[in-house]
Amino acid sequence: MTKPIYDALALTLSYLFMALGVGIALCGAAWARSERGPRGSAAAASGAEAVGYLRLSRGVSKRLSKKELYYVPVEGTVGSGRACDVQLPSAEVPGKAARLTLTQAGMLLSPVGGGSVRVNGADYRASVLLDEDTQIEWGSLAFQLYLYDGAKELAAARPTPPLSDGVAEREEPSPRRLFRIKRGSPLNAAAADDKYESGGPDDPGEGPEESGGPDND
Amino acid sequence: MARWDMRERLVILVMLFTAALGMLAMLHGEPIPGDPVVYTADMNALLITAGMLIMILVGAYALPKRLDADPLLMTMMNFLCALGIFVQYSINPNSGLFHAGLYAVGSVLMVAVMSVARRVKTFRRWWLWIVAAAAVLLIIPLFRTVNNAHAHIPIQRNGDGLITMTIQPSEAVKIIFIVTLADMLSGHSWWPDTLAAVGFTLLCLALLVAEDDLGTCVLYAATALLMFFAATGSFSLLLTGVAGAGGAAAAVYKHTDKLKTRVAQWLNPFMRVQLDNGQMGLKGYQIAESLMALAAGGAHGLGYGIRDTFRYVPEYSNDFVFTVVCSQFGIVFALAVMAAYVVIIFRGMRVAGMARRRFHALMAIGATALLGAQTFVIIGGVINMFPLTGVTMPFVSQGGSSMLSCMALIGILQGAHARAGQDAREARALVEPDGGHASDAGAGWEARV
Repeated sequence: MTKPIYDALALTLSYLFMALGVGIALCGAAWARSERGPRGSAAAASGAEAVGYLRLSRGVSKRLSKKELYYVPVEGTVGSGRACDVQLPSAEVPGKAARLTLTQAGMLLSPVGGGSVRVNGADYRASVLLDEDTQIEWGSLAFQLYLYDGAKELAAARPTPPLSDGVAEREEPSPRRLFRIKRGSPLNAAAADDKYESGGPDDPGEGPEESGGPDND
Repeated sequence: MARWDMRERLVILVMLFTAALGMLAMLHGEPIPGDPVVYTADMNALLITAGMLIMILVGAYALPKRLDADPLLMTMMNFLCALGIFVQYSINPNSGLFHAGLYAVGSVLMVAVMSVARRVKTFRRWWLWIVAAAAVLLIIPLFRTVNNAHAHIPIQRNGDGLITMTIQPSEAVKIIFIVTLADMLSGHSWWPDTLAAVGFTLLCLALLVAEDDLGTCVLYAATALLMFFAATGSFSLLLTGVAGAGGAAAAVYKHTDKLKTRVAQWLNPFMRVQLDNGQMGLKGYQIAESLMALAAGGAHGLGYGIRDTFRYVPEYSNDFVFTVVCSQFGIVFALAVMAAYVVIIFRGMRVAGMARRRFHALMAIGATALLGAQTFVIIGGVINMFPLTGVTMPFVSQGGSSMLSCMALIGILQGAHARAGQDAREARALVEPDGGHASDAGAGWEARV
C-alpha cells in the first residue's frame, strides 16, 4: 500500500470514528430526551413513597416555605418533631400533632396526645376524614392537602377506617369526590389512562366520605 | 428503507464502532516470516470483537426483556467498555485481554447485583456487620504501602519481588457505602438512622484519609452529600456538609505535603524547577505531558494505535487514559465520550425519579452521583481544570477493582430500574377494571422498606 493511500485511509478512519462517536452521543441523548423522567428527581426521592403532600397555604414561619412540599406517606405522623414522618418545623405545630393514615375511605387524620386539630376552620378531637384541598391549621399556619393520582386506587387496597371508633363523619353525603385526579405526580403512572379518572357524576366510587362534624369545643 | 427506532439506531452505531475498532486491532498481528507486508490477523482481537458485539445485543435486547434492564444504560455502558477494551489493547494487547476478561466477569457481577438490588427492601438487621466489614476492608490496606499510598493490597508479585497486581478495597466499599447509606436514610426513624448514616460516612472518610487515598475520599464525600440532600431535601444540611468538607479539605491541605504538591502542580504545570535528582524539569511533569499529548491529537486524532504522543505520560493506561483517547481519536470524539457519561448520569437520575421506594431512589442517586463524580474528577484533573487525583475513568481505565465496582454500580441502577418497572406494573394492576388483584398489588406499594 503506498503512503498516500495509507494516509488517506487513516484520515478517513479518523473521521469515521469521530462521526461514530458523535452519532452515538447524539442518538443516546435523543433517546434519553424522548424518555425524560419526572423533573426534580433528587427532590422526588424524598417523596418517592408519598401519596400526596402538604403545602403551606397561609401564615408565615421562619423555617417553613410556601414553595416546599411536605410529603405525606401512606401512614405516618405529622408534627414539628424530627421523628415525625411529615415534619413541619414550626413552633406553632405541636411536636407530634396527628397521625395520617390512608384508608379505604380516604386520608384519616387522628389528633394524638389528647390535642385537637383544626380542619377547615373547625376543631376536631376525634379522627377526621380529609378531603383533598382540605386546610389543616395549627395556630396561624394553614396547610393544604394534595393527593396524587393513584392514591384513590391505592386506598382501595387499604383497610377500612374504624368508623365506629370516634371518626367524625359527615351526616349528609357530599357531592364532591374524595380524590381528584391530578397529573404530573410521582404516582400518576397508576392512573395514567383517562378511563380511570374518577369524578364523573355517575362514578360509583365517588362518594360521601367527606368528613365533617365540628367538635365545637 | 426501513425506519429504525432509537434503540436500533444506537445499537447499530455502537456495533459499527466496535467492529471498526476490532478490525484495526486485528492489524496488530505479527508479520508473516519472509513477507514484510502481510501480517497475520490477531485472533484475540477477533474474539474480543465478536464477544463485544454479542454483549451489545444482549445488553440492548435480551437483558431488558428478561430482567427489565434499561437498554439505553446498557448500550452506553457497552460503548464505553468497548472503547476501554480496545484502547487498552492498543496500549498493550495483554492489558486489553485482561480488560475484556474483567468486562466479562463484571457483566456477571452486574446481573447478580441487579437481581439482589431489585429484591432487597432493607437489611437493617445486618447494619452492624456491614459497617464492620467496610471498616475492616478499609483498615487492611493501611498496613501496606504501594505507590506511596496505603490504598492497595498486593496480590501478585513477579520473580524479582515487584508487585504486579493489587486490589483496592475502597472500590468494593463503594458499593457497600451506597447501599448502606440508602438503607439508613430511607428509614422512618429519622434521628437515630441519620446519626448512624453520618457516623458511617465519617468513619469511611476518616479511613480513606488515613489511607492517603484522597481522590476516593472526594468521591465518597460528594456522593454522601448528594444522598443526604436527596433524602432530606434540606439546603441547610447540604451547605453544612459542604462547609464541613471544605474545612476538612483545608485541614488536610495544611498537614499533607502530597496535596500541596498536587495543588502547586495544578497551578503551574509548566514551571521549570530543580528535581530531586538535581536536574531541571517541569514542576507538573504528568500534567504538562498530558496536556501536550492531548493537544497533539487535534480535532480528529492521530489514529488508533499510535502511541508516540502519550508514551511520556506516566500512568497513561490508568489515570491518564483520557489523554490516550484524545490523542488517538481527537477532541471531538472525546467530547462525545463525555456526552456518553452525561447520558448515563441523566439516565441514572431518571431511574431515581421513577423509583417508588426511597431505598431504591436513594441507591440510584448514590450510584449516579458516584459515577458522575468519578468521571468529573478524573477528566477535570487530566485537562487541568482542578488538581489531579488518582481515580480511574469509569469503564475505560485499566484497573480491575475499579472496572468491577463501576459495573456493580450500573447493576444497582439497573436493579432500581427493574424494581420501578415492577412497582409501576403492580400499580397499574390496582386500577384494572376487575380490581381482583388490587389487594395483592397494593401490598407492593404499601410495604415500607
